[in-house]
Amino acid sequence: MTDALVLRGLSKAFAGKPAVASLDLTVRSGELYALLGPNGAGKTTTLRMVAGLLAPDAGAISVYGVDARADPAGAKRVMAWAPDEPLLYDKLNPMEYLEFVAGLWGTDGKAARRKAEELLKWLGLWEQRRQRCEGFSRGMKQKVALAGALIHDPKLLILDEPLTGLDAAVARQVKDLLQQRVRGGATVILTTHILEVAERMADRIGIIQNGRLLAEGTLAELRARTGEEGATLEDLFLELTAPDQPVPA
Amino acid sequence: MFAAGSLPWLMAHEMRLAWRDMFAKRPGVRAVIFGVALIVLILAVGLPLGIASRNLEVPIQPVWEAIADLVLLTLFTLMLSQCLAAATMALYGRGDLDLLFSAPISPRKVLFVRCLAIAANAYLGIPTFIAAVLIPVAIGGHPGWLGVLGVMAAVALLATSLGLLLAMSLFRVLGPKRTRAVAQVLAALIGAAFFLAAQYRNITGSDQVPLFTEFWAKAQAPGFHLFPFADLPLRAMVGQPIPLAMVMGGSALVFAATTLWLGGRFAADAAAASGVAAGGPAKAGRAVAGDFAQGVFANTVRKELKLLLRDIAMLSQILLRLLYLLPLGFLLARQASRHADLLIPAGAAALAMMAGQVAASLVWVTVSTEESPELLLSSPAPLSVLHRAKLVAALAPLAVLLAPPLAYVTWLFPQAGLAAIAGCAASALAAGLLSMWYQKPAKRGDFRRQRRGGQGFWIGMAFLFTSGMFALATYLAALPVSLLFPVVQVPVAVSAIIPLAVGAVLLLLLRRDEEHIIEIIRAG
Repeated sequence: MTDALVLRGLSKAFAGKPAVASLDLTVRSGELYALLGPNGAGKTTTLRMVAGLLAPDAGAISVYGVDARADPAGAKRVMAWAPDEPLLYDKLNPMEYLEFVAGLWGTDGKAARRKAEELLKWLGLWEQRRQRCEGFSRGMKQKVALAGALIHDPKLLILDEPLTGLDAAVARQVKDLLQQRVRGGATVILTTHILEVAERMADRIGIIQNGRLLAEGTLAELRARTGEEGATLEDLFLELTAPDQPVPA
Repeated sequence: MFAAGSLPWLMAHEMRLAWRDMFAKRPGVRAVIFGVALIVLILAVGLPLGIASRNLEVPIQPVWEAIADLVLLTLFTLMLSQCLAAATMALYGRGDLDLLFSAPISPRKVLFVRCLAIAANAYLGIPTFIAAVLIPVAIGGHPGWLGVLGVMAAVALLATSLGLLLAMSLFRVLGPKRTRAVAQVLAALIGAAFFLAAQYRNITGSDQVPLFTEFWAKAQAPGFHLFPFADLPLRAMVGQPIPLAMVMGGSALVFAATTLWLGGRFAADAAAASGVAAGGPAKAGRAVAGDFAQGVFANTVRKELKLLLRDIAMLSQILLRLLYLLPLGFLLARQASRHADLLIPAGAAALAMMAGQVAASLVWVTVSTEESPELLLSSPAPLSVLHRAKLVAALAPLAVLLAPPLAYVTWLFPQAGLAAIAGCAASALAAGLLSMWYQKPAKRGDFRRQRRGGQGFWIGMAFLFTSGMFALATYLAALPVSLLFPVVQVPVAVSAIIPLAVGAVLLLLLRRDEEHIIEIIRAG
C-alpha cells in the first residue's frame, strides 16, 4: 500500500537559521501519527510545507504517491490542513463556510450539502448553522474549521494542535472524530503538546528537535529504544529532548 | 511621571498608543517626511503669506463671517464623522476596555480620557500644518490669528461631544448590535455631507448659478445679515480675546458636561457591546438552501459578495467612496442631455479616473484582506481562478452603480458613452490588477490606510499614471467628431490609442506571476 506521506531530505531555514534540517519521515496509510517536539522544534514548519503553505528550501514531499512539489494541486486534493487557529470567515455562517470550502475542493454540490449536514449534526453545530461565526466561542470555531477540513473527505488530515483551548467535552468530540476517520481508512497527522493524547491515540509517534527526527515508532518501540520499560510518553519525550535539564530551585 | 491611575497618566497612555499606531511602520521615514512637509509648508506658504499679510486686516463683515462659519462647518462635519466612528470603536473595538473596567478606575475618568484622545486625534493632524502657515503670519504682525488653532480645538471638542452623544443615543435606541452598523454608515454620510451638499445642483440637474456665486451676490447686497453670533467664530479666529474665550470655554464646558453625564452609562454600554462581540447570539445569516453551489469561481464570487455586503463598517467606507462618484455620474449624464459637447469628454475622463480609484479600494478588500489565506493556499483551487473571482466580485458593485448613468449617456451620445464605458472598464481593471499583483495581507480595519506591498509609493504612482493614461484615452476617444475639422478627425481618434498603449505597456511591465504572489501571501 502507498504510504500517506513521505518526506525525504526536507529542509527549511529562516534568516539562515535552519528550522527543518534534512528531515526524513514516513507516515503509513491509515494510521494516526503524532508529531511531537518542544517549542520551535520544527513541527509546524514541517506540516506547513506539506500543506503547501511554505516552500521548502530542499527535499521531496510525496502525498499518497503524488509529488507535492511538482503537482501541488494534486497533493492538496487528497489532504486537508487545520491549523491551531481556526481559519474562518467571521461574516459567514457554518453552512456558507462549508459550501465555500467544498467549492474550493471541487466537491459535488449535492454530496457536500449532505456531508455538511452530517458533520454539523455530529459536531453539535446544527442549531447554529444559520449564525455567523463571529459570535462563536473558540471551541465552536474549532469545530467549524474541523468540519471544513472534513467536508471533502480527505485521505490525509493534518492538524496542528487541534485540541488547544478546547474544553473537555469538545476535545473528546474531536478525538472521537479523528479516531473514527482513522477507522474509516483516512490518515491523520497531528501535533500536540498534550502528550497523554498522543500516548492514547497515536499508532506511531515521531519526536523532532531542531528540525531533525530524534525517534520514531510505537510507544512500545520508543520504550524499547530508550530502555525504559513502563515509562510514560512524557518520560520518554523528556529523556529524548531534554535529558539533562536541571530543575530550577 | 504622573501618578498611576490619574487623568494625565491615563491620557499619556492613550497618546502613546495613538502615537505608536500612527508611526507603527517605518517611524524614521515618516518622521522625516513629516518634518520636510512642515519645512516646505513654512517656506513655500507660511513665509510668503506672512509677508503679504503684514498690513492686511480681516474685515468683520457678514460675507467673511459666513465664509469662516462655512469653513468651520465643513471641518466640523469631517471631524464629527471621524469622532462618531471613533466613539463607536471606543464602545466596541478596544480590547483594553475590559482591563480598564476591571481596574479600580472610575468609568467617567476612562470615558473622559478616551474622548480627549478622540478629540486630540481629530485635531492634531490638521492644525500642525495650519500652524506651520500661521506662525510666520503671527510673527509678521498678526499674533492674534493664532486664535484659529484655538477655534479648531473647540471644533474638535464639540465634534467629539456630539459624536459620543450620537453613538450612545444610537446605542439606546437601536441596541448594541445595530449601533455599530448604523454609526458607521452615518459617519460615512456625515463625512460626505458637505461634498454632496456642494454637488447637489449637479445631482438634481438644477440650471441655477453655482451655490457660492449666488451666496456671494447676496452677501454683497446692502442690508445682508446672518444669524445672531455668526460673527463669533471669525472674531475668535482673528484673536479677539472675549470671543476666543467664549468659543473655547463654551466647547470645553460642553465636552466636560457630555463626558461626565454619559460616563456612568458608558461602562454599562461598553459591557453590553462586549457581550455581543464575544459570545452573544450571533446574527442569523441565510441558511444555504438546497445543494451547495459548485465550482471554485462561482463559490468564491458568492463568498466575496456576501462578505462585502455583511461587513457594515467596510461597506460604509466603500459607500463613502462611491458617494463621491455619484455627482460625477450625474454631471456627465446632465451634460449629455444638454448636448454640452466639450464638457462630455472631460466628464467621461474624470469618471474613468474615479472608477479606477474605487476599483482599487474594492479589490484591496477582496484580495488583500482575505481572512483565511491559508485555507486558499492549502486548497487545490488555482490561485488565478480565485483571483479572477475576487476581481469580478469587487468590480460587480462598481459596474452596477455606473451602469445607469453610462447607459443614459450612451443612449444620447453613443461615441462618448462607449468611450466612457471602455475607459471606466480599463481604468477599473488596471487598478484591480495592480492591487492584486501588489497585494499585501492586511486587516479589513485598515481600510482607511490601505497599503500595497513592497514598493508602495512607486506602485501608487504607477496606479495614478495608468489611471491617468486611460482617462486621457477616454477623453480623446470621447471628443465629438462634429467639433473637429475633417482633417484632424482621424488623428485625434487614433491618438487615443497612444495613452491606451502606454498604460497597457506599463501594466505589462508591472505584471507579477502567480508564484510571486503566492510568495507574498505565504510571507504575509
